[in-house]
Amino acid sequence: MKAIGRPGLLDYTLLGAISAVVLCYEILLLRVFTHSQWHHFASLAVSLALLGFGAAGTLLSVLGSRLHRNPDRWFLAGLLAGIAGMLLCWGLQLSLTVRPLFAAWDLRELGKLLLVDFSAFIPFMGLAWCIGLAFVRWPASVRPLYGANLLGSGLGSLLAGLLLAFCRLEVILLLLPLGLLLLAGTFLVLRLRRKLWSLVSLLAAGAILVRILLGAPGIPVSDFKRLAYLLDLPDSRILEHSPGLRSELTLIRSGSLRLTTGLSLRWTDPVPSSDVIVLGTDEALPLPGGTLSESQQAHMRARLAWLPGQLRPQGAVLLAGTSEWMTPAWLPGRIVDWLEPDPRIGELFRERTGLPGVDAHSQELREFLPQNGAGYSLILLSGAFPESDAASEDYLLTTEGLKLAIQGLDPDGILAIPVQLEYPPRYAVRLLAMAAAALEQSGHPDPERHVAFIRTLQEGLLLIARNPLRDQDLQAIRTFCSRWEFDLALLPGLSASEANHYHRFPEPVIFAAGQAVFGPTGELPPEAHWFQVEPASDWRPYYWRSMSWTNLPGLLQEFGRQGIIWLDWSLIMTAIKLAVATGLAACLILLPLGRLPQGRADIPRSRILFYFGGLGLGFMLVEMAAFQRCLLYLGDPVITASVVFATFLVGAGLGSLSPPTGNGPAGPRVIFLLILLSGILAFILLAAGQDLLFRIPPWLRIPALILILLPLSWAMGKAFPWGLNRLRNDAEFIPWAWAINGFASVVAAPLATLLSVQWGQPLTWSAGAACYLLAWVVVGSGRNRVI
Amino acid sequence: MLLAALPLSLMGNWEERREEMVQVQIEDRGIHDRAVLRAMGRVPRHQLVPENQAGRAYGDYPLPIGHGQTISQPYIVALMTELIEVGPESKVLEIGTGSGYQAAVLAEIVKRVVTIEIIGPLAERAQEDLKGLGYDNVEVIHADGYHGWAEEAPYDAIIVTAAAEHIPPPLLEQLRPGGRMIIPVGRMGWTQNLVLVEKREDGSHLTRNILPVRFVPLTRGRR
Repeated sequence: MKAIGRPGLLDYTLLGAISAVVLCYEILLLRVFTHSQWHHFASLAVSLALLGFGAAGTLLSVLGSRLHRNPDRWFLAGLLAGIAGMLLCWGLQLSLTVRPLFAAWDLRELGKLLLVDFSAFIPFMGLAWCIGLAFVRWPASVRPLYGANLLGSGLGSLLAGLLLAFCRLEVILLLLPLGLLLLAGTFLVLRLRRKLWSLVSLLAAGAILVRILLGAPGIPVSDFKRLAYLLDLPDSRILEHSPGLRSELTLIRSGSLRLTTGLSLRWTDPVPSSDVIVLGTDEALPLPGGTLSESQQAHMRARLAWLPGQLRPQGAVLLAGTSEWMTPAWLPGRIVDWLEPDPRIGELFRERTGLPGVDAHSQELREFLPQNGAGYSLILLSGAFPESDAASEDYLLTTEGLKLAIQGLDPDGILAIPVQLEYPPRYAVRLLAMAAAALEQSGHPDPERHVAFIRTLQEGLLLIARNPLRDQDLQAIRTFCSRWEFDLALLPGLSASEANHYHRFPEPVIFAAGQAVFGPTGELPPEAHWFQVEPASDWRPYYWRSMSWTNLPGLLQEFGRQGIIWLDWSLIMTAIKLAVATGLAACLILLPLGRLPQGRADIPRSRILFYFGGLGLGFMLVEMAAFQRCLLYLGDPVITASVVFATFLVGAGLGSLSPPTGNGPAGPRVIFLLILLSGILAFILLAAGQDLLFRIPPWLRIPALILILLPLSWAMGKAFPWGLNRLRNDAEFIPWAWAINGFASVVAAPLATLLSVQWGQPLTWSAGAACYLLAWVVVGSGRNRVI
Repeated sequence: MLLAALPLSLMGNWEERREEMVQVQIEDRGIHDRAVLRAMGRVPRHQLVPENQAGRAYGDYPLPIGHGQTISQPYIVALMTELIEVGPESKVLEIGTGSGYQAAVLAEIVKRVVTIEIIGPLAERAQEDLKGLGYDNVEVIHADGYHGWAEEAPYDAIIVTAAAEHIPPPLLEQLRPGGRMIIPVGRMGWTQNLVLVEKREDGSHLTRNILPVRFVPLTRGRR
């Protein structure tokens, strides 16, 4: 394929804008699918849709020189396909309720699922077609084109954050095709001189705008979600609904809303109802109407959550997070520092209760304690109660996190951690192991004297005292448990016969596990062996990962269908995603080979495959590893994703504008040495700079992280356009190389998750580095030491 | 009775399928209470599901009965009935009438069944069907089951056939000392645990997890 002219300002603008919309749509779809489908399935669905990116590259390779006959029309076709795909996806989201779990045995459900997911594939393929076409059309300008592509993508990730913060999902789903229609109208009038069609395009955009202004219909929530259940209660109504960067917020009222956890069976009155805040679709927080009534206060005293305050009735309280386990409204009369990163929740509580004595902070515990010192009589990790995803990073529940919390207590202080319980225990034994490690690392040689574990059948409460629990503490705990029929599972001086009295497990497994973790033998009971028990750490912060791949067959054999619900479905879906994406990618990468030439002797196709595949895998592995680590410093996943992904994309875009030129070996040597050195530097700073990064204010932390990541992303951005530039005289290979890179990126995302969860984040960094080394070896191994 | 209106040949077929259900799905899985097996063998489940589901009535799965509700799979009905250990003199409160099938099974064993359904049309249909089948010892009440039915408390057993996020305290209050309650407890959206509650003679409680289940919610909008 021959180069035809050079791209103009309009082409760069369109390329950047389309790239921005693609990335924005990817982030948006993840939120939409989480809302309307089973959340474990959402990322799989989006990954498959992203394969449309690579598929476009494959199709461009197959069509080859035919594209030059009328490239502007091909471009317009891709753009219109993207718009139509987005509108189709929106329509299907509104009209179809999908239950992915049922698709395994219900053909109708499978059909609906395929339809919805295929509709998401279309816009990615259409828009990626437009982007890939630019590389095919102007091979001599790949560097600035790639730069525009990355800069646009970086801006798209920021745009996604802004849209999610201020617009409802259903509105954003319509805003993006509206924007594309405006682009299409501009292209039609400026490039194709088709004023009439441009007008049609603008009219279509106007129609979408009218639909938005009239009120876009909401996306139905999956019936697997708690929000669906709460909205189905008698007389349930929505008092408030707001978009948000982290999640949408819905405030619901119904006389039947009675949230309570850890309630004693001795409590005989109906649980008082209250309004409920739902974050996203699953997390629910009770919001009382004002000062607690007598009945509400009495009900509080019958809950497991009451015990820590009874043990330490004086002194300052640090409430980390908010959950149905504990909210600041349930700590009347106490001086409370309340860490709630979502300011909307703080505002709602303040409006309703005034929050006397409560000082709210939009910070996480890992950030707050180093900045504000210690001395709390109680630290309540309320945010630890809602079960999280096995593949999600949780830096609160790591050994280092618990150690920090223990050090934040005054000498008599107590740290309280609520957990949800199952039998056999999925998380509780790991928590005990982390408590033991954190206490030992804090200089307490006898950790068993510091801990107590109290439970019902489905909830547990771990208490960790900075100094050994006092005799009066032990007596108060026993009295409380006896009064309200809670079981003592672990307490200094507790005997096995006392450990399983009211809420009976087949075996007193928490007691036995406690003896093993804190005792001399270290022999865990058999029930504890089904799940992960080693402490989570900052380099492997996956407390919620319970499943062990090696124990999986045994678990299913032992427990049959029951075992299925204890599986870490997000990891299983990630593994499936990796397998499916790899299989599809391999097929689509191989597809165009029939029509591609063997290549010149110094550019064999295998070398193109390994070079661009290595870059795609390496870039995404490093980017994902950086994202996982930066979550420690920024807390919020959406903010972290926006900062990290935008930095990588913009940095790479800037790097791509100035790669080394020339065909000699010096070019790749400079590029890959820069990548390796800046990668090592970024890794060291992210690992060792913890003290400094936590002590600087948040507004400085984001620029500091950008500064750490920018040199790396800048260096990484040079390798891809350098490679494409080497192919400028064999332009048939350019879309193929681009497709390989795209497929490798899609495959790398689930791979990075699995590597980090299984072996820790350093391995993911190393794997990314290995991919870049592979690419270097590939370009350095030919006769002319170039591709 | 509706049963009488069916052709004899079909009745024979239904009975065979019911016997097979009891043998394969229930007895072979470890339910051995003779009264429960007998009751499961007598109640015409196919007459308590919507007509279009009758052919699948004796299958080993739950079935939709309209209004977003389901009739539990036969094994779960038998298991819950066995676990509450009731006899001919017992008075049982059921929360979540649904199709009325669980109430009919109980009515075969105990003296009196009070069953509460929050969805009006389902309550009406179950009342008619149970009456048509001759179960005069069952009273269907249209109300929110969270509060139980204090008018006839205490009960020897309480069986809750819909999921709750916590055990409703009024139900514990209405259970007599020595009585048993079976209830699916857990967060909505995924699975719950089937929990057996025993109220000891001194008023204290003993709870045990039986198995994970997925039930429709206890409290839903009255439709």
